[in-house]
Amino acid sequence: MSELHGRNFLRALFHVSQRMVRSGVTTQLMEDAITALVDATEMLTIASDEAVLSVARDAFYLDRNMLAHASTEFHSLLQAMKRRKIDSVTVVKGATRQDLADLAALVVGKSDDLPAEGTVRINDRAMAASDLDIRPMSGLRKTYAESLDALRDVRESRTLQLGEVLGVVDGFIAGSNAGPGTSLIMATVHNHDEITYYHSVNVCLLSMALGRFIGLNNDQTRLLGLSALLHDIGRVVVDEAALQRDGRLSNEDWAQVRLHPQEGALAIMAASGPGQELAAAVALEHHVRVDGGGYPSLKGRRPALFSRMVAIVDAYDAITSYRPYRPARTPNEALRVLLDGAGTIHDPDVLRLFIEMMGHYPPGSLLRLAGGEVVMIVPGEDEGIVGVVVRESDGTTVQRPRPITFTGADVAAQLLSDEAGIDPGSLLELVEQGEHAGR
Amino acid sequence: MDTERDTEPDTTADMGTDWHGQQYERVRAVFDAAASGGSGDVAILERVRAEFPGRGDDLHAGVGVLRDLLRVESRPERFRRLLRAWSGKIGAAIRRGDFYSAGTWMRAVTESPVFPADFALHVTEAMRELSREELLQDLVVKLAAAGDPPSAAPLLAAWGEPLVEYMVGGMLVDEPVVSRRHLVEYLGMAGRADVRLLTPWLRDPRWFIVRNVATAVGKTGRATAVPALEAVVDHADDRVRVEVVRALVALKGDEGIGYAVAALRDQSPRVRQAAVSLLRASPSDEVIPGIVGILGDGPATGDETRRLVDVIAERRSPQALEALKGLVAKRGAIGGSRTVREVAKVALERFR
Repeated sequence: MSELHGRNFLRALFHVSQRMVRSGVTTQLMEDAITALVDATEMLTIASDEAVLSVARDAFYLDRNMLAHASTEFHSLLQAMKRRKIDSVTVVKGATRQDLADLAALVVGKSDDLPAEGTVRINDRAMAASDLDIRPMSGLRKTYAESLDALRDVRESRTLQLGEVLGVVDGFIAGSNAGPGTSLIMATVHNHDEITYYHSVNVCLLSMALGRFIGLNNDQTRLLGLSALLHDIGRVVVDEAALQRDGRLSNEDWAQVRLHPQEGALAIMAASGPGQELAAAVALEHHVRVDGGGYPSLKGRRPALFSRMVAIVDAYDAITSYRPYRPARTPNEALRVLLDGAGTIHDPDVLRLFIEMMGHYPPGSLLRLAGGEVVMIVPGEDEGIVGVVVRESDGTTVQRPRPITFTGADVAAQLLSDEAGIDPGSLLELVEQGEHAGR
Repeated sequence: MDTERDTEPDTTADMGTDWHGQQYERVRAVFDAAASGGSGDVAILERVRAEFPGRGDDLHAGVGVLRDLLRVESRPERFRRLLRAWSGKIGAAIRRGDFYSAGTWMRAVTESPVFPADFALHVTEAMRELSREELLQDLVVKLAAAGDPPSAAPLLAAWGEPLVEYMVGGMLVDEPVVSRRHLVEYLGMAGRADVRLLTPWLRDPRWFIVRNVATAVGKTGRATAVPALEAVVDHADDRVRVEVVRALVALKGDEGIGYAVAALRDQSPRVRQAAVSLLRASPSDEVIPGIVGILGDGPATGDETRRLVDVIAERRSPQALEALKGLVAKRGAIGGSRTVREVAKVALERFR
């Protein structure tokens, strides 16, 4: 029973629950999602008769092991289970489709019925704190989760409290002691069902790292962080269906999408609190190109510096993320795409600084070396490229990643996290675990 | 959002190809160098740092966003919501006593309008809602408490008719929330951009409204108001005439001396006294011929004669000396003229 299987189970459960609350989901799509959940359950129980997933202190636990990264990835699922007072879910090998569907419906509040066939049991094995390997979450991870909550609150309440949003940005600033590289790896977290929220937080983290890199002071970094976190807030009011649609956008969808910058700027202007003017400018201008193209038209006015910075980070995170209409691309490929837009789409000066900050292989990149090892890039000051080996050349996963320095000539291929079967964010968790064990 | 599907086709592909090519190569070089640790470029950092936001940039960024939104928004409901947000900005700035910000936000909509002409009615409606009595009362009370700061002038000038109506209305009540002196001051500020907001009130049947508005018009600095003031220069109430003459002189400067000189012939001592004060305050010797002319006709009282001669003598200029000599040299003067000669003689002795 591995952390990977636990994460896959949670992902599949979240996906089913999201489809249950979303309108316009066909029966086939729902059935596909439940099938994926059944498959994930099989893998989860492959080595034992049952698996116990617990919720305690803002984290998921699989048996006694904390799933810190999955708790960030599926934070809203965690919150939903807490709201429904679900402390544990026991999944039996061979769990039925109906029980798993009932579980998803119960979690998301679509039903109050417990799974009836006994293959999924709720709260029958609630573990005591002493049964769990409880350890504190890193400040960065906590703030990441709080940021997601802040954005969800906007959607649910339809009100924007800038003070609360600034609070989570302050949390990122306080947590930046861990070093910008940690933020860059944390910014690799994605969630296919909550694209906007995770994307916004990642853009916030990366923008603040860029701001620090170019010499912004604390107050300016704070405003940049606020602006970046809210840059896509207009999507909250734009038709969500248009944004989630598979394949190319229709003209009608396109018209909806084009409205999100002005909707975002309007929402921020209508809010109250410090820093809103700059944030509104970023929301309005982050799709305006430096050659005057893009949308909306500013009649030749150049986008502000923060807008140009966020535009680059926005594009970078979007390209490295999965979308319903295309796969994710590697960080290095994303930088190449950005490069093609230097001077037309993007400000060449800011892009150049962004590339300098990220390096050829940004932290969190997964590479296969010529010797067959899979490594993840971590921040480092050495002459060569610094990484940690996460999989040996024979394909075995290492229990404790070991550092390695190499050159560009040693790189055989770049890998997506799905290809490597490794999530950079979860490796960050290994580092956190190591730090915790060392204390 | 995803640039691959969200960015429109590049319609400027033919523009500045060389420049774009150079930019690409410059950044490309960094991309290649990044593999070996990157390359610092101080010049680029300095260029970027020159754009770091500073104090006050947030306000102007917000105004820029507002004007862009006003220009691009084509949905009436969203346009009205935008105006509500705008109205909220002004109200909040007034409540915290930040009149500069309030004025900057106000002008974002009222100056050089960028919104579609069809939406002007929404702006008018928003102005009406913004001009609620509670907020305007808050405004004048805070302005008075802050000592009538000049920084409020752009706000008051941009507010327009609703504010003028409120302040004129404030002059009608027995116990205004601030003294009438303050209200007149604010009316003057309100008329600076367009004095036509005030001049219709010069035709008001209530003498004290005309008087206060005439004073306010004089404070606007707008000479285009002169014809409207001239129309009431013979107002039946001498308290009005005093303020009208003062306003005319204020607006026309040296060229307005003639109004003060003409007022020396007014039947009302109050008006004549005000005229003498205006002439005394004028730094120009142009007042001298006018006063001499009036003295030749003989003003109403000996006291006024003395004061007018003093206005000449105080100047201590060659032209003043010659004027005094001319008054002393008048022969066969009787009555008022004799008084003029005697007063001028005393003044001339002092002068020497």
